[in-house]
Amino acid sequence: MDGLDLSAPIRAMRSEIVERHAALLDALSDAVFVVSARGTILYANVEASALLGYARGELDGQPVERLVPDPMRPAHRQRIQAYFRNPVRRPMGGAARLFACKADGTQLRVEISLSPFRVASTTVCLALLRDVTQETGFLELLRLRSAALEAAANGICITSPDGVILWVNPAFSQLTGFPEEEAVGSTPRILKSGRQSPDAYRALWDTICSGRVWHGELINRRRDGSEYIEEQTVTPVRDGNGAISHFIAVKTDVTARRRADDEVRRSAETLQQRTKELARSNEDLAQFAYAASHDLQEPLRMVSGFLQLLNKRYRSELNDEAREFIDFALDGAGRMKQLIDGLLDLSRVRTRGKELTEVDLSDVLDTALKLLGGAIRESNAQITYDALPRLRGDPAQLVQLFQNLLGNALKFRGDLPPRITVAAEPISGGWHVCVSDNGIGIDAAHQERIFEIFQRLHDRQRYAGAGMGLALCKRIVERHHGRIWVESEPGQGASFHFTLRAPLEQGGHAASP
Amino acid sequence: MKGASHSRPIDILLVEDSPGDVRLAEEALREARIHNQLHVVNDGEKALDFLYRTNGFPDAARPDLILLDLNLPRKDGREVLQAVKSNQRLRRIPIVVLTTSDAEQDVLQSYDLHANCFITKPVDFDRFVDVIRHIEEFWLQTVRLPEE
Repeated sequence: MDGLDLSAPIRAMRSEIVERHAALLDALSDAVFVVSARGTILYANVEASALLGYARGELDGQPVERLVPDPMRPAHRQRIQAYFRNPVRRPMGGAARLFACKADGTQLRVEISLSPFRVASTTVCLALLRDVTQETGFLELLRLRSAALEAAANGICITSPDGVILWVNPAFSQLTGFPEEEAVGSTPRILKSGRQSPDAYRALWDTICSGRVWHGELINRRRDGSEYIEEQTVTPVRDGNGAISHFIAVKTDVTARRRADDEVRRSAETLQQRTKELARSNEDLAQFAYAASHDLQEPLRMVSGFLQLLNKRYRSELNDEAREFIDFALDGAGRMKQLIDGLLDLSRVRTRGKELTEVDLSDVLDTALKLLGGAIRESNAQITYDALPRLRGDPAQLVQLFQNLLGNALKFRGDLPPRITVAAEPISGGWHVCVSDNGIGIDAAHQERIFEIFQRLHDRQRYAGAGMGLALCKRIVERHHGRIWVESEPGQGASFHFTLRAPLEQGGHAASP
Repeated sequence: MKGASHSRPIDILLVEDSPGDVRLAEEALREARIHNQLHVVNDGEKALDFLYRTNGFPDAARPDLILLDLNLPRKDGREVLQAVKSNQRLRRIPIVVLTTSDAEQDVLQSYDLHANCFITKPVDFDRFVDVIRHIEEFWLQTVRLPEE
């Protein structure tokens, strides 16, 4: 099958072509081959030669197999025969991909159309070649992109400029309940839920018609009537002239997400409300505690005052039993006074709390030590302390705090003279202070409840006190955004730790000062 | 001159509505060293009647010292304070506000109205006696009161 065929019939056909048709063929911008029934290229027009990289006329007389890629060559002859048995105008190859070999050995992806023609009383074949390499590339990309759209999890809907739905992907149907055949040809109005104001839709149209992208949420209705919240982006597509040719809408169902957000927001609101209520309730309680303790003072004064007068003026005239009764009564009144004073002190932490200012803790300690001077001398106590920092606080309350803790350390001493140390170290946002003593210590079982009001661990004969001091300390420390706790073992002394922190700037601690 | 020489008893006007507190004050004053004459009225209006010598008090003594509770029926202590301290004839009389209240506001207001001093009644009787004694020692022995 190689070698020129210059037999007589071939030459006759060539002459006729050259004489009658060459001019027309060469004027065409398509590549045309005239091929004989035996597969000889009778004529390749200018465009055909150029397309395949041959010089003009170089292909004439050559077997057409020269242009067919190697693997296809064997079958090609039979194809030619099959064509000439029933020569009709048709594309070549059907669905197969066709390639043509260029002179330099590379291949072109081509599409070929075949037409019968009569030359010199013989049927020949006109083969029109189209280079579809680039086209194929585009088609591949297009196919890939279409696959992506089809597979996308988001619902995608393409409409005409006046809103007629041209195409939807499967996810759209899954989202809206409208199968493709129902959606296409209709408009997005099929999704209207009636819960959206007409302004919302108008705004959407205005945005996209002016060429801008719209992004937002809508409440839509599915085919089955159920509602869902849709997050949608609508993008206008422009054609070559700059006019809007389509709108592409990408939709996501955010109903679940919105519901979750709403839940979170509602919980946050409830929390805020509860916190506010709690703060108010605490405030009420504080005010009540104050009012109650304050009002209790008056009748207490009556009881206490006249009992004392009774005791003073008539004790000598009473018998032992009466004296005993009066002593019990006086004792009771005395304790009531301590309790009421304690409660008043406690409620005053809030009601009389001063605004926090710069305080030097060394000054605070000095004041507390002065106030405890008598007790310190009396117990032969030794108190050592680190340099203490400056921080923000209520000076009077901090004095109370130190006075209580040091006072306790002195009161609950063991057999040895009290040795008390005060140390401070910085922590994030504030200071950690520790007051340690060598006293009788506290059992682990009690270490938490001692900070509650009215809690006493020892009988009144041995250690006086209403059981309020540590509750007061706790409240003062809390007002300074800190915590207080104790580390101790019975017989090993106790270390009272507390933290004092500056309040955070904004939205920090919820507790009110 | 009164006070230092105790030539005649000191007149003290106690304006107090609680009978218990009146009695306690009486007892406390009895224990005091100074010979004193205690006059008691139970409400603000009677206090002013006493001081102006009207309405049933034509021969009322002019007090050397007034012990004034703030929370009184009819006219309360604050009004009495204001009336007395704006009266030319009466304003020289030292007024000791002796009250259960310890509210900052009451303290300020009392001093604003020219109370001579403000004392919160102590709960403990012995301390109350001490307070009365201090008042007496200060206002009737230490300081010099104007002649009348």
